[in-house]
Amino acid sequence: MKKFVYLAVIGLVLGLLFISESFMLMIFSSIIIFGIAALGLNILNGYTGQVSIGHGAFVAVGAYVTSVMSMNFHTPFILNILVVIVCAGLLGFLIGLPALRLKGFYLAIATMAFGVAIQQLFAAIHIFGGHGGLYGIPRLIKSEFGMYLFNLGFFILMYFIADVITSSPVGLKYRMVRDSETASKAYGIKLSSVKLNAFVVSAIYGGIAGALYAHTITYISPADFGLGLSINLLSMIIIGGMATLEGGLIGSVIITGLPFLFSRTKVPMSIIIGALIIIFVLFFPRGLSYGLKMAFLKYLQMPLVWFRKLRARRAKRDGDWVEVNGKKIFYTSRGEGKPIVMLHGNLGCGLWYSRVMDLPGYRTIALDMVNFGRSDRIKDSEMSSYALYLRGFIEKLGFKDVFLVAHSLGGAVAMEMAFDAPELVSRLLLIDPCPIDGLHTPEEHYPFLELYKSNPRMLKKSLLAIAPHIGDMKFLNSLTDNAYLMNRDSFIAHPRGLDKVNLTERAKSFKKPVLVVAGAEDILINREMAEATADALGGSVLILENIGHSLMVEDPDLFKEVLLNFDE
Amino acid sequence: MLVLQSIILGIPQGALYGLMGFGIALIFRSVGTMNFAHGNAGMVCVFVAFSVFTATGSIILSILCGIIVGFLLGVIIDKALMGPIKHLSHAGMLMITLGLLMIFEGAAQLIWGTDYQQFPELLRGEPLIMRLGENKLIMPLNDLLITAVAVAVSIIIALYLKYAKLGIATRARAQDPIGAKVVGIDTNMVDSLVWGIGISISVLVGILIAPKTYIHPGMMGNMQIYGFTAGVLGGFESLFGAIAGGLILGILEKLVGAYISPDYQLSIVLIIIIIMLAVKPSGLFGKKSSGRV
Repeated sequence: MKKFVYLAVIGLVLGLLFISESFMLMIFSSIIIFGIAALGLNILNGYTGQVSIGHGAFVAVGAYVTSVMSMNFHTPFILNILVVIVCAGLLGFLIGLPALRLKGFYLAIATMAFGVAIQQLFAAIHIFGGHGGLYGIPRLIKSEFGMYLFNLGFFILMYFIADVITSSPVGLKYRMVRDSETASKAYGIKLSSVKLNAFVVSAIYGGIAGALYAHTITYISPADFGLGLSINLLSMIIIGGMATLEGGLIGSVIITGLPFLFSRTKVPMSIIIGALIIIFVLFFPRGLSYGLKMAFLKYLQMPLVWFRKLRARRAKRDGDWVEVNGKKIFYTSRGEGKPIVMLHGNLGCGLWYSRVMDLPGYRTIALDMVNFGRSDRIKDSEMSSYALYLRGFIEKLGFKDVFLVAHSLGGAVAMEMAFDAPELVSRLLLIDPCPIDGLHTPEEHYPFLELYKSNPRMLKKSLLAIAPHIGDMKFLNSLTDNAYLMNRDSFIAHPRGLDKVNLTERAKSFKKPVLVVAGAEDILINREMAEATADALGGSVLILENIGHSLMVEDPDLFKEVLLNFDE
Repeated sequence: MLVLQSIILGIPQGALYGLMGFGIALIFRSVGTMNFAHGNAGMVCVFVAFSVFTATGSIILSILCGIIVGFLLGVIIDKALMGPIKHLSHAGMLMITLGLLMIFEGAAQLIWGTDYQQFPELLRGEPLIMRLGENKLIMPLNDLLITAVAVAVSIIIALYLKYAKLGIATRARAQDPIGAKVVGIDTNMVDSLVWGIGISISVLVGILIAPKTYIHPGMMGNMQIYGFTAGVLGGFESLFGAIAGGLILGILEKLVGAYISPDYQLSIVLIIIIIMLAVKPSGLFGKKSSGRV
């Protein structure tokens, strides 16, 4: 809903800024009108994958029908638009029928032939004014500003409808047909009805754009709706972005707006548009809309990242440093007694254990591993390096028989270290650990992980997803702040490293008690993974209901209970 | 009698449509790209020929220059643009050729302007007049030449494809690109060659129709649509389908012009191809087997 309000406000402000310049308002109007047509073409071409280079025909039908009706019969616009919708829809249905059998180039030829045929028919029929076209089409609203607002209102309405359609099951079917006809058939989708549906919807959009065009410009001729317009519409969605709602408008701003920018020069528009089409198809196939979105996600929130880092550094944390191999490791220690060393997961730090450090009779130590939090950076982000530093840390503090608690990525580090030096470890409590044979992150997730580096909102959401019952948003915020203290390269390197983990063989020689705890609602580590890990280590499994990936932040009391039970 | 006269006038027109479709089909069959910039690529080269003609006054030289420039343009299009993107989807290639279409149109406007330029007929003189009883059938000399050229060019290319070494290589590449590479055919070279020949044919068509349509940036727009139509009618599967389709189209067009109205010529023809595509996309002479040039 928000974006419609934004659209309306931006449109209104632009209109008010240029309220006295009717020429500018007319340009804005045509941008919006072609935006509607491009939106319709995007439904057909972007969402459903049916190429059309005859879309100008639908615009022509809309323009001519409303012109002839209002000039000859003085019918009200509301009636005209209904007739336009019916006519354009019927025509869309008609061209949709042969298009059902055609694909790729053949479909392009058919739609091109259709577009030119309709244009020629309008030029040949007397009532439509022949090649000269029609003059003096009545304006709906006398003032240019009023007409602009009218068009804007229509655009927002059509945008809203397109939003509803594309996010409905019908829109899903469109995309299925585009991505694989065979697969959508297998899902019981009737290809012909979906394609026809898309043709009709997209034709209606074209028709409405044509009707608005006629009443705004007040002069139409067949030459306005030829192959040139069809290619322009296509280039709008290529440049703006295929299969996006805003792509059509962005493309329309460029394609409709450019001629006014270049009006003083002698460079013909078609060179520029042609070059833009080729450049976008070859180098930016996702269009400007994707580029703008990515720029927004990547760069606009960078100041917030710096702010969060600063806040994390400034925040008060009691603790001490230990130097291992020349790198300082930060840790927090609480209480006296049997030592427990707690390892955090990816994007984490010692703070994740802050709610569970009060354990009577134990000395709890939560450290920031190297590359995390306030500890020093190292060059690589390998689990085995982390394990070496962890071993050095434990030796430096002079512990023997440490009770190791490890979460997620820390689990892999803890296992690695425990297999290296079993004498240092007395028992192992693994909370939703990285599976014994590695955790695979699908390749298509990496671009999103890349975005976490620069987008605190996304990172916060993903942390919330792995700690769904955290409750305290302030705590989540400070965890997010601290996540940014992690080495920037590790955002990508950690999942890659976890992918490579394979400790199954080495686990066989490990004989200490092990407990693997997993939340039933964990989205990363499922029950099978937890069981496999426990099997390999010869330990037991505990599955907890209503817990996600991070027991210690989601239910601290339960964590303590589990830990104490395990130690008895 | 009107029927006969329409047929006679339709044949040269149809031969040109056929030649246009022939060039498009040649590129489509061998390289796999439907070239939507075919007409405009030819148009630019016709302008070059026109410039040569105004500079030297020699028709033969200008035609030669136009065709050679057309060949080079085809090779450049393949080497610089279409060659590296063979992996792209049909929609992607379609859009790129549409972009080329726009660029050629704009370039012609920029260099030569939008005025209509006159180009001389290749053959002038009294039209052939046949008398059948009381009726007269008229065949302009230039039209006769056009038909002859179109027939000659298609026969030459047919012979080339059938017997010349490179022609056989072209056919092999069309049938099976990998197989062609295995037997040592440089498919990239063949592709460039096909593009070159295809565009030169378009130039030839442009030069042949120039006396009628005059030379201007939009001169080949309809011609290209007719070329596609001829290809669809005859079937892109076989090259001679395109020629035959073009002839049918030309005659049909004249008949529509004579009996209904010249205003409806193009739209009726276009509606026919839409129906044709819907009913029999492989065309009148299309065969099921693909891969023949």
